[in-house]
Amino acid sequence: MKNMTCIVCPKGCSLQIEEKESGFEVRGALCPRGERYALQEMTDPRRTLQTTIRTAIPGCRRAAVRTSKEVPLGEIFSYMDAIKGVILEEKKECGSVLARGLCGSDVDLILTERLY
Amino acid sequence: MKNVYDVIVIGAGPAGMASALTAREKGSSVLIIEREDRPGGILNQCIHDGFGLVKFNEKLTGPEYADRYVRWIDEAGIEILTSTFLLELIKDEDEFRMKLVSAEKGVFSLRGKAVVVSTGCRERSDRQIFIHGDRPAGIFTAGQAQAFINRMGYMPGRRAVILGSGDIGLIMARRLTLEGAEVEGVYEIQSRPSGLQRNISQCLNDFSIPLHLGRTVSRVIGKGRIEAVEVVSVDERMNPVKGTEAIVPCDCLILSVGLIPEIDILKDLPVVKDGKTGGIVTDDRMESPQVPGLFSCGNAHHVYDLVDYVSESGEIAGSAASEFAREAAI
Repeated sequence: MKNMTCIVCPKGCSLQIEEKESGFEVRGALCPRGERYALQEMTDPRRTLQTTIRTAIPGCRRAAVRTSKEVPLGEIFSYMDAIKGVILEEKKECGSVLARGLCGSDVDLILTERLY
Repeated sequence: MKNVYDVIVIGAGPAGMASALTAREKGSSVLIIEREDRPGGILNQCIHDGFGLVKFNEKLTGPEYADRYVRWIDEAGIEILTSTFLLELIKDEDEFRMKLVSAEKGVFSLRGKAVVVSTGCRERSDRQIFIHGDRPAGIFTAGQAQAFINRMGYMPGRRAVILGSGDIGLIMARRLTLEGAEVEGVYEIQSRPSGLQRNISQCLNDFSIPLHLGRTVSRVIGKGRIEAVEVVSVDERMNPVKGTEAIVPCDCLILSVGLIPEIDILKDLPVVKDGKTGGIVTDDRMESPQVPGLFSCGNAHHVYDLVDYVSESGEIAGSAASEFAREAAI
């Protein structure tokens, strides 16, 4: 049996996962998202990644970004390295795609802040 | 810009923007005062996600949550005076008078029928938790470290010790690790962590960062720059236990040891301070019983753990402030 804390929402349910012949059995989740999280976590743990990138915009040293979807937890530092190479050259709208296909995956890089 | 408004909101963070929007929807003339150069408040440096899950059923980052509100503020045509600092707030008969300063306007004054105080909170510092030893560079509050990394692109250090397990400390443990620093551990004097369980999981456990419960920093060591801290275990009465001391080398100490509402600007008003929250006493419409027309919301009222509830408190205050201003006009 494995115990974990659900990270889907601030409630943070304590989950118990047991491997049965029929598959994983999840207990302790107050909603179906927790059960989905536990199953994902047992087979392929993933996280969204947020960081900042350099910019060439005067007066704006860093711009906040995130990945468009969750990335494998074990590869998070490879994604950090890939994102480090991206430089924001000019002002864009919050939500703009700044880079596509990070680390050869289908994950894009999204600008998450309004630039002034 | 006018000189008199129905509702003047102090602070354009999530509480202030929500209260301004609600007051405007109810027909009031509204102005927001903001000391930084842009609206958003602390959300601007909280680049991690998890905001808006309750309110929007979406997982937004802090700046995305702020952007949503700034867009609505723009659409509603609400004025925000940025880079403007409030120097003095007094109540003169039936209206509030403010003395403000900005580089653009110099010192100037404004009048409001109702005032919403959404000034957020401050972090407790090393001077407030009585750490002994030297006073070298390299001691940061978690929010300071967050501003340095996320807004300015400076690393506060390469080997960090984190004192206190508040959410911002946990978030910064992950952030420092992602940026290549080593986080030696998080020390928490209490026997249980103060941050959310999900942050223990996704910020510490994901990166194998140790959490030391019942253990705290007892001494800072370093001339010029911090070189190490002494850590020690405490007993049930929070007294250090002899023989449990250890020296932990580090080049920065990050403090996440609590937040206190920032309400110094209310010093000239007969408000009553709530000893438990650090904010002012209000009724359930967020109004001060001692100062009619003065409303408080967000972390200036009491420290919330979710921004979604901060916005909700702003809506309550904004709605009540608008009603107060309308009745004052009759």
